[in-house]
Amino acid sequence: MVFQNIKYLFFLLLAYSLMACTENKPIIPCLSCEGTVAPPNPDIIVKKALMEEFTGVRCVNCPQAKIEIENLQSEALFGEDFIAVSYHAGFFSRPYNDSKNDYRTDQGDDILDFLDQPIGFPSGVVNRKQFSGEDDLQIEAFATWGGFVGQELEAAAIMALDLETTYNASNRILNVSVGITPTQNISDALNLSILITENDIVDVQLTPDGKVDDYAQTHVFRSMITNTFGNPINEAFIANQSISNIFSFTLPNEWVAENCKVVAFVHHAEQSKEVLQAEEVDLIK
Amino acid sequence: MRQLSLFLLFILFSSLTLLAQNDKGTLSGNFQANANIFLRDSAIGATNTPQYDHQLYGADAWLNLNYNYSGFDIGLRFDLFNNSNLLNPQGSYTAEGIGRWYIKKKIDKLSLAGGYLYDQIGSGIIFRAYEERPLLIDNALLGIRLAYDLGENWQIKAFTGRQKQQFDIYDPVIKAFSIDGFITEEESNWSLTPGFGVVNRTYDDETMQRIVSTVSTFSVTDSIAPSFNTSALTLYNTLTVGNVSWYAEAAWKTEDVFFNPFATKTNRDGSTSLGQLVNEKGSVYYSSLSIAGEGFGVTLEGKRTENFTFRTNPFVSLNRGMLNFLPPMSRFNTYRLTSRYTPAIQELGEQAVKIDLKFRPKKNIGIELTFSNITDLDNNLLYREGYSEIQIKKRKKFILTAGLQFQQYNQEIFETKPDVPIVKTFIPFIDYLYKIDRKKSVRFELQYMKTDQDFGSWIFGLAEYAIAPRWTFTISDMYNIDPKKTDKIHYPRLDLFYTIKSNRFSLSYIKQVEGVVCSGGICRLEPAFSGFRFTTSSTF
Repeated sequence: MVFQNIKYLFFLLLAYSLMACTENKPIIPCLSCEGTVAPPNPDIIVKKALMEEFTGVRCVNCPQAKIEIENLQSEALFGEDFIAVSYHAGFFSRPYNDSKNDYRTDQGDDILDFLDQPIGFPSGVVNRKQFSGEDDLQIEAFATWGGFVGQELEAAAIMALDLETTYNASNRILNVSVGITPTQNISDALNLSILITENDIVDVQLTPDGKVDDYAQTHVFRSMITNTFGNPINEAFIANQSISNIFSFTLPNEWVAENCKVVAFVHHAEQSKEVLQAEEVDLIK
Repeated sequence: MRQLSLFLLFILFSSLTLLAQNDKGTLSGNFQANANIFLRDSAIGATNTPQYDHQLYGADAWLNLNYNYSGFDIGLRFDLFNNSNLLNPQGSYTAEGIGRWYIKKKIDKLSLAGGYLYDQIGSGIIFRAYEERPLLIDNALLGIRLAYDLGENWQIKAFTGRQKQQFDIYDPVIKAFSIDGFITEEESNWSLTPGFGVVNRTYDDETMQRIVSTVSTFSVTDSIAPSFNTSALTLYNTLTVGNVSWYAEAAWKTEDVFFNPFATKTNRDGSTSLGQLVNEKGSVYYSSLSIAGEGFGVTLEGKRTENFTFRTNPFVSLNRGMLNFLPPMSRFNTYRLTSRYTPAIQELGEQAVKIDLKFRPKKNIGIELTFSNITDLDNNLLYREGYSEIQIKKRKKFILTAGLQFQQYNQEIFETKPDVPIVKTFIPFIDYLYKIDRKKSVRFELQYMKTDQDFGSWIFGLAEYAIAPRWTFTISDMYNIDPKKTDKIHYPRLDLFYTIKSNRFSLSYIKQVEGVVCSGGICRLEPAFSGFRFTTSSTF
């Protein structure tokens, strides 16, 4: 009888122990609190993070995702270290009858296929990387994007990426000069992708408050300058030796050059698709 | 290492299989496969997925083997997905491998199990590891389980492991304990089946680092203090007195980080937006009262849910990484149109009642009435359904089923469509089965959905001819008779079923309408289907 009671007591203690243990909770750093972030050192190459967001004018939650991107791009958080590209692709990107433009592109559709179809929209891919615990590259919960971006920005940069643009407004020809300087020898096959985005395109968008006509679309993917999946970089990556190249592109008339940005990123080209470094500059300086 | 362990498992299984051939055990199994041929049809939206664009073909298959010998129970399952749209209806998933293995052994009062385990505590509110192939849910726990019989009527159980993620596993660790009992007195008409369970989830360092990294981007007012450990506990009991059965369960969860799409987030510029990671406690209260009598039965259910999403980590959504299962409070409808608007369970806030009444005024007449009402925690209507059905049977001649269903479905919440009205449907239906002779029968279905919202009104008809026990031929069509969004489109379907012994085969030509399902701020398209589907299932 005593043994029986002890046995029950043991199991009660076992159940209680599952809940009763106290733990040391993690310390949450405050990214924007004064004095917690050291001023940038211009001699140190900073790794930047690329967010490729998949959105659509019929995607009701996408405006919330856009706010989250703007939040993460604020100077108090990641600032210019966080680069966003918004592809209008997938089921929710079909334009309305009263939409001024169709922002879908064949290249955007191909990139969506290349980076895995998400299970829902909005969705984002950070540095084309599959994080542990994720089924694929796509991260649907936009409120968690900052965590993935923050993790990527903590990694050391293994190359510097310099972008220079020259734009001739009369013939709308854009020249992009790209310089890549690795900090270490790299033997992997890498590609260079360059693309153009446009901000402040006012058009129809579905929002949680209904359909609005004067919604400002941002980071809208317009076109690749390189091939859709990037151009192979044939030169050897030798530490501290720069690789440079120049690309030309003619802007269609309907794009507002003043609102456009050029985004370039170097990424793996074989089994992994991971982006190693990214950079963004205004199309017109 | 993983391949080595699989190899050793294969050797073990092969050895035991040889023993089985010597009549020293039982080898059994089952096989299920689906093969789809995708035919693009942009008129119904069957397009823009890899399958329609260029793959054209997809298949899913499961081969399950079980072996029982000398108290050992061993299982192995091979899973295959080729261009499959089960994991992600808009994507394509290709992988194959050992989807499950397990070894179980009973030693006197002690039961041991290791491998990929399916299990649940209570009704599953705090923990349920299960498989649901049509949605590719496979939440098996890769771990070990011990169960011990404390006398004749009591059993305790403890298990620990990590949750399966297709052919990988999630990093957070799950452990649980439960005790279940049975209390009664000799020659009495009452019994109690009480139980208690607790589940604990511990985040791994990388998951916690990602949570910390996310929270560090929050404004000070929104900041939360996540814990490595979250526990959920439940108390449940079934009281049976004569023909009355009352089940009650109460479950609570300690603070847990999850994504709340309705939480207000303060941004760096002072603006606010919706959708935020929060750290909240949760609770579920669920009860079911059943009374069964001579020719009648009544079941009354009630449930209240608050912040009870419980997942392996806060970064998964929709049907990924779920640790528990909340019982649905809407009727499980099977007819094509009565099941078109099915409410998704609201993990973050829901209160619901359901009453189901069945009675049989005559031996050959059965009547069923169901009413369910689901609201959010502020009493805003989410879903309301009234269902009535009468079934008249004439032995060896016919079965006539007819009924009416009305629904109110809050599409704005379930599908995150702003400013859309509540979908109100009124659906009469009739199902007539006529037995031509001992083997042959015909069956007809006719359903009409009257609604002024969403896609508008639909009509559905079906004719079926069966030659028992092997052949069944079915032809059906769904047609939007009064469309609000699209042109008038036919969605025909042809099915051929063939059954021989324990093997069943089907070949279908299908056109199926698309739908949108939203959960937790994420909307998932359930695309239209157009093409041929071949299915087979066998047990041996």
